[in-house]
Amino acid sequence: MSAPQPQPQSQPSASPQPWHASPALLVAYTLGRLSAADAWSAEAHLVSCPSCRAELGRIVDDVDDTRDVLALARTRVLSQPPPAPAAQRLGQRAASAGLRRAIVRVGARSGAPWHLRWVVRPASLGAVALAVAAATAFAGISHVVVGATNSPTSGTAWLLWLLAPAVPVAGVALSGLGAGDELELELATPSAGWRLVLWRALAVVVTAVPLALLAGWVTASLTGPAPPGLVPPGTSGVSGAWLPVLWLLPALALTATALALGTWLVLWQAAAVVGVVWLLVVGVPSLVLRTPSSSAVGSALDSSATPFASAWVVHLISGWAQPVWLLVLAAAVVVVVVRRDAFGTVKPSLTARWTTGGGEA
Amino acid sequence: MDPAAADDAALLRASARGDAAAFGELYDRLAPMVLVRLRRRCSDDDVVVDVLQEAFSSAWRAAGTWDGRGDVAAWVWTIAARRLVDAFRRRAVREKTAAVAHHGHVELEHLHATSGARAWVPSAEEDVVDGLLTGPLAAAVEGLSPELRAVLQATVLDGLSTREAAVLLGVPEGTVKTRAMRARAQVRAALA
Repeated sequence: MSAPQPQPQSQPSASPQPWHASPALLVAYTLGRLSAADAWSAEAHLVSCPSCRAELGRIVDDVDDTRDVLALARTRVLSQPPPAPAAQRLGQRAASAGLRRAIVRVGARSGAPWHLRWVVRPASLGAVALAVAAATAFAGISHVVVGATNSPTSGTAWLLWLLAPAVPVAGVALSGLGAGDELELELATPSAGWRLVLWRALAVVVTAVPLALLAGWVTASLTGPAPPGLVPPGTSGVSGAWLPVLWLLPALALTATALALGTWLVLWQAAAVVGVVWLLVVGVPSLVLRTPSSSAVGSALDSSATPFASAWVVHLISGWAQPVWLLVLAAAVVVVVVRRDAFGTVKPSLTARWTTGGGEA
Repeated sequence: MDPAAADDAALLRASARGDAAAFGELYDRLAPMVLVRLRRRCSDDDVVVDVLQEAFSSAWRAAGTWDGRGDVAAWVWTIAARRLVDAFRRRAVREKTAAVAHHGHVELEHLHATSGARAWVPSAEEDVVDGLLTGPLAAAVEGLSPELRAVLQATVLDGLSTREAAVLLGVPEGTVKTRAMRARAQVRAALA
């Protein structure tokens, strides 16, 4: 290989690359005889220059010991090919190649296809089934309670609300985190455990929505239309079927919010913050307004306090709340997409940091 | 597809579809760089060989998740660096020894750079070794203490997180943070 004369001031990252490391420099690097600054420069250059890597390969190939090490590792690596991913086979049938590539590009940084792929494995379908069953059950209970009395005073209603968003996360945890090679890979990245659970919870909910719609349609055809107040005005004819989906909406929005917060905070802290806020939103109005002693203004409020307290949780899935959940969900998704780099899968290169003046800690 | 003619990105995409020939070609192109780079960071060659193998196995399995941005080589190196951190973590009992070896290596380099004790480098070879970095930046890097330089190497050059660097260097996370800040401040001051 004919290496041009080195020009010390040139930028190794510039493309097309006018500069190449000389063989002598690469030999010294291979032997560990470069000073720290030179070795760093060589490494930053090698990572972005195929021809210098090829030259390094030729140099390394002349050393018996190194050649043997490389050959041994090569044999071992190639003897264990990875299993062909299931979602890829599914995707080839379901979507056109162009669309699939676009989806892969968008989702690759976050690892999203991975988690969707995880959901379609037989072992993971339990989590989806649990989410659908819980949503249908919750919808059925609220349907009966609200529909029968038309003044939802059930003491368990707000408890259901507390639990609803946690069901998909619990389903994921129960269905066995340890399954699959992905875990091993994923654990090499920061905050891996929490990220894995939340992403999979999100994937479970997304998969559960159409199934819950089906379950809701069956339920609605058996029990009749949903009571007023639970469904968006003017859509009472169809929205009985949507009832279970409405219970999944908070789970979807809150899981996405936790992930979005996780681009700033440590992920378990983000999940804790979302959990506490949710606890306050659902629990405090219900408890405070339910307790007779809290109505300090007088007994005049007592009669109105209880309906409000119970109605509060109903409001969380009633007509006006659904656009709010969708807004929260959309905002969280935007944050995750925009700030996906903050999940720490790929860091800026040395040259990028140097040229921006050191970067931040 | 002819593996020898394809670029790294095309090879990785073919590897994601299970093409062993493509991944073999990619290995031949990238493994020498990864091996030499790992050896500069870990003195135990057994660990280096294990990490090399694990890194490429992981890269093959994760090939479908590559986002198509940046160099394939940089992506593979990031995996290898994380695998090295894992290896250090796994061998918690020997962590201290390994960290000392890492420090020792850097210290030796520092010693040889600052004290002029370069007798072990053949002078003829020294003559043909052309410096890459010259001027104030090289002086700034060379002027860092071995501890600061090790932190800068792990966090900036290898792109490791504070926590990963702490495992690799065998010091608490807080120490990594303060050292990184001090190192950046020193380099910045030297360049100002």
